[in-house]
Amino acid sequence: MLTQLQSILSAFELALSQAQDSKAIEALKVRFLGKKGEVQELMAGLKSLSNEEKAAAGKGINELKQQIAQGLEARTEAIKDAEAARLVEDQWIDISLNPEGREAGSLHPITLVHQRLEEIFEAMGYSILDGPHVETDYYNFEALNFDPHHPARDMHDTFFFKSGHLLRTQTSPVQIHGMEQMKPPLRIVSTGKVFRCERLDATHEACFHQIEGMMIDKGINVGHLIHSMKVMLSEVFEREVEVRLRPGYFPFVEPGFELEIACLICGGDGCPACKKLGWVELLGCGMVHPNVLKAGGIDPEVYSGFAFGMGTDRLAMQRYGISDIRHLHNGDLSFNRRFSTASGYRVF
Amino acid sequence: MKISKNWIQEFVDLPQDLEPAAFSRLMTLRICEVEGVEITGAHLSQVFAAKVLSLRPHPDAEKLRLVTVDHGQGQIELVCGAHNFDVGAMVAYAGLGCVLPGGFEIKKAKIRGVESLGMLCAEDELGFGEDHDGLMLLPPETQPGTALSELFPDQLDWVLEIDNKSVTHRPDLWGHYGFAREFSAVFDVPLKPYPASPPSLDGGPCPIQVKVEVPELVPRYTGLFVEGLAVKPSTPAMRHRLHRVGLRPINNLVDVTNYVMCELGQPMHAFDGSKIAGNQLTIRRGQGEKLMTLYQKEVTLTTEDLTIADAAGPSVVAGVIGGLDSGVAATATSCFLEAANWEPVTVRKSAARIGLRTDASQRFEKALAPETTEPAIWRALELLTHTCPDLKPKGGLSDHWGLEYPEVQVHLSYGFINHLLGTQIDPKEIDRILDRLGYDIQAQGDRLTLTVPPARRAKDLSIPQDVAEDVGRIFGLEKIEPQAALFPVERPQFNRLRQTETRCKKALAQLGFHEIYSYPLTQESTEAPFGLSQDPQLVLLNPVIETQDRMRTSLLPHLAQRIHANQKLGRDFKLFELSRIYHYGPEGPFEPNRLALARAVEPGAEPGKAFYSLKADLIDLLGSLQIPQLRFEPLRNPPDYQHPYIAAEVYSAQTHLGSLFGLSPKGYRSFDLKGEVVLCQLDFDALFAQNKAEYFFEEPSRFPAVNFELSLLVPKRVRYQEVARAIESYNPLVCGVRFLDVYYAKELGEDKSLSVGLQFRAQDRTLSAEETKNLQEGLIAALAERGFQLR
Repeated sequence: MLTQLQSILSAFELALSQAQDSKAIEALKVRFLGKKGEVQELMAGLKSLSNEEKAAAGKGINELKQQIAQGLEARTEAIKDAEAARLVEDQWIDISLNPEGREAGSLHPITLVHQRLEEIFEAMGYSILDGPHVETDYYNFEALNFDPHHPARDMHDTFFFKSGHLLRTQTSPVQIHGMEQMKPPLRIVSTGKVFRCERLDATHEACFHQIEGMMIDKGINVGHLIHSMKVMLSEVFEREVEVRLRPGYFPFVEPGFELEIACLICGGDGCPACKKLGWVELLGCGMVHPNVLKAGGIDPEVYSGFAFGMGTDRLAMQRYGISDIRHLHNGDLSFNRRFSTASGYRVF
Repeated sequence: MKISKNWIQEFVDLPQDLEPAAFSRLMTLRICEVEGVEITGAHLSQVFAAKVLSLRPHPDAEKLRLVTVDHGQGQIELVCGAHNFDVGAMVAYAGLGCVLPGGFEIKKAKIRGVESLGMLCAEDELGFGEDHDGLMLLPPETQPGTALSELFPDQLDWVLEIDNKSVTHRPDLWGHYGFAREFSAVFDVPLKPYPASPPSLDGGPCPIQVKVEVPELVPRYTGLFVEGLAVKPSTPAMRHRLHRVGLRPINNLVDVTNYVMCELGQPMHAFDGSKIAGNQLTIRRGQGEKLMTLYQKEVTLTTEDLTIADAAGPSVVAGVIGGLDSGVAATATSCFLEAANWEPVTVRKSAARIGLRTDASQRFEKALAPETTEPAIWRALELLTHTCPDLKPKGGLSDHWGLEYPEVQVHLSYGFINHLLGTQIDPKEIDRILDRLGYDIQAQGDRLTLTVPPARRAKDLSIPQDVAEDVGRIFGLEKIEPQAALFPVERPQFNRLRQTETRCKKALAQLGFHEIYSYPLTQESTEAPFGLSQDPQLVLLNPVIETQDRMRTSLLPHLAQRIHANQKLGRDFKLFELSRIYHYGPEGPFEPNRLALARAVEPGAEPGKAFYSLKADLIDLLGSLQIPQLRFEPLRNPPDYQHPYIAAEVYSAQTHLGSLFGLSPKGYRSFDLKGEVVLCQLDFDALFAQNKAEYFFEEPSRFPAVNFELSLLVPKRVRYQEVARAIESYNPLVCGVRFLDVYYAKELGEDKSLSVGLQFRAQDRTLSAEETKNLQEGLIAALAERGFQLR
């Protein structure tokens, strides 16, 4: 009997060492511990033994059973681990793919610049206004103190319609609309399209964009203008910007200024980007002309204010390194795609 | 306009320690925009007077000669191509290493095999003029070896390029004397009086009788008849200086008139003394006469133009240009010198009408001061005597005053200036600045009464703010401290439309759309295929290009063009534009906002891929904008470029928002589009005005739902919506009806197989198995009754 026990154990250990998967383990379980298994057969052989022998053999069989069961269990664990490891290996995926992704969309650079500007001014308490593109001579010129013979009124610069209307040449008419709608103290800002009769080239467009702003209250002075411009431009360029005024002429402001900023590339020392001047002209501004205040129904004896206007195409071009203004209107996707951060096609 | 620093310096003493860049920067900050500064004559310290000692032919070139010169430091032989000199002439020798204007550096060179160690120069090569006919010849008595910088010190100059637009409001800044006045204020140094003193006149009448028919258009007309004229080249100094500021020297008479214009901004003209028919000049309006101008262009003088006519007819377009025959002959011995002041708008219109903006017309249209005509004449007379020592006036000054520019006074206070500028400038400093600028000041306490300088009264200066500007810029705008404005905290006034636009654009970018900007201007043939046309009122009178001659009435035509252009790179993309269109109604023009979307894809096996993609995005977008009760309905009366079936009207409740549509084969053809394309146009104003969806919480049922899925045979053209409604309306316990799948197959004949999922659920109880079974069977029966058999 004991030799039988021994040979079964040897056979089991041999088979166990050869079992490579859970199926083989299952087969071993049936072969050795199953109802018709080898150990069960030994049990059947017990009948022919004496009681003493039975006790000894029974004990031996039980030990064998336990040994087999323990062996199977240990081996099962190992095989499961191995199988799991194999499974994981089979589950390798290419994480550089993005099959669920879609192409990222984009906002137009002018939209990005206008939204940023509007955020800044909204935070400073300005109201955002809008005005028509098809304007009247009154709003575009007369109310803005352009005398009847000002050269800017020439057919040369302004698009005129058969109806007698014109396409606004500047966002400044919004100053008048704003003063008509609101009472001082007021702070208004407006972004939008403007039009000039110009031939297309790398820096000129018949249709381009501006931002216009105006602040009116008692005692507003040039210092307030400088402060607002400095805040705006420092926010736009996301760094402290040095600003400087120099004389400039616009009929709707008096005094009128051109505002320059210290070149963002050289900091004012002079470099090719600023034509070695150190300063870059950025916008026109000034104190609102008394005639303009009057046109807006505001008493210039009581109130004063400043106004400014800035081309935003150039700002966007500067901000994003756009070389040619014509890109802004040609609706070419290879241009637009430069303005999306993460496209399903480009992220690995 | 070019301004010479040396010329300014004749009228005001500038500081000695100026640097060109700092000077030009200061000018920009205090006066007007300087676009560039050119340093002239730096090379002349390396160019020397050299005496020609001998000449011999070049062995290998007929046209060249070998010239031996004495340049003060020794003798040297050079190769030269010019022939305007002989032995003994004094020429200009540029040695090795000298860099001539234009960057040409003199190097050792072999010319036709003969080595040349330097160069003998012509005027143009040295920057003195345009003459290249021969070598520049120096006075024979010059000491060889003298540097040309010593001989021509005026040539060492800084030439400032002024942006004309920046002085468009300053009649006084169209000549050097005006700039000198500004610098006298900037540096607080005196302005020298203008060198123009009247000569002694013979007291007789002017031989030319001047008649001004239109004094209302002629503020002043001043003339003087002079005799003893000899037309010849100007002095080198005058020629060089005119050349430096960009004017071409002609002869002494023309040059002097230009020279005076460069000083005072006052244009001048000279009539040939022997050619004034009838010795009479009449200043009048044009009468339709034809006139050939100096530039050989024939113009017609209208009654809007001013002209000067003698007995033979008109000879000039006043203030703009002279006639071809109005010039002074080379043999003339007398002339009538004229300094006029024309009404600015008349000149501007004349110049615009004949399409010619001259140095003169540019200045006249700024409204010059009538006071300057007389000093201009005296100055010209004095300058002419440099070349015509026998010159003398005959008769008195012919002087006619017309349209008056009244004296301008401005009343203000020192406090006003400081308040507007945000400064605390001392009144004494303010006085000093205004005095230097030529204001006449009367102060009483804080109050000021100013008489505006005559040169600026016609247009530039009239209100206290103008004065504050002058004070501010001379004081230094960069010295003004930034100040935060103090405002009461108020209720914010949001622009809700702009907020919605911004949210909409951001949502679309999230959904993968690219935003494009297209031109608001279009042409008829672009819009016509869309069945659109602009009201004639919104057609431009003066388009720049014919493809942009009117305002667009829709965003779609340009969007279609952009799809076409982008399809060259790929077929799978999404575009949008949110912008205005333009209409003309009984109330005038109006500008509605439109949102246009496009989806282009590679076509799939079944039609509708692009449609469903865009529809899904649209639902996402409108959902994020809280647009309630969206509905898509079949298109009513689609135009022929739209697909009749791959199309839908978009509604929110009862409000029509727009439509989305695929293209018909004709549409694909006429817009030259490929793949599958769906467009959408929404009325953004309607969308904005629509009440936003409200969100309510509803207590969910605590009892479990029973899921049920069924596949139905449905006629192909019956829409899912109909089936879903049939299911929903079967019993209030039905909820969560959803589309699962649709299947088309030949064996299904005229039907399609539609799989739908739904739930039965009660608020108040768990549905029993039997109840559920009854509901299911009942639903199937009810659907069968509608013709939708269980498959």
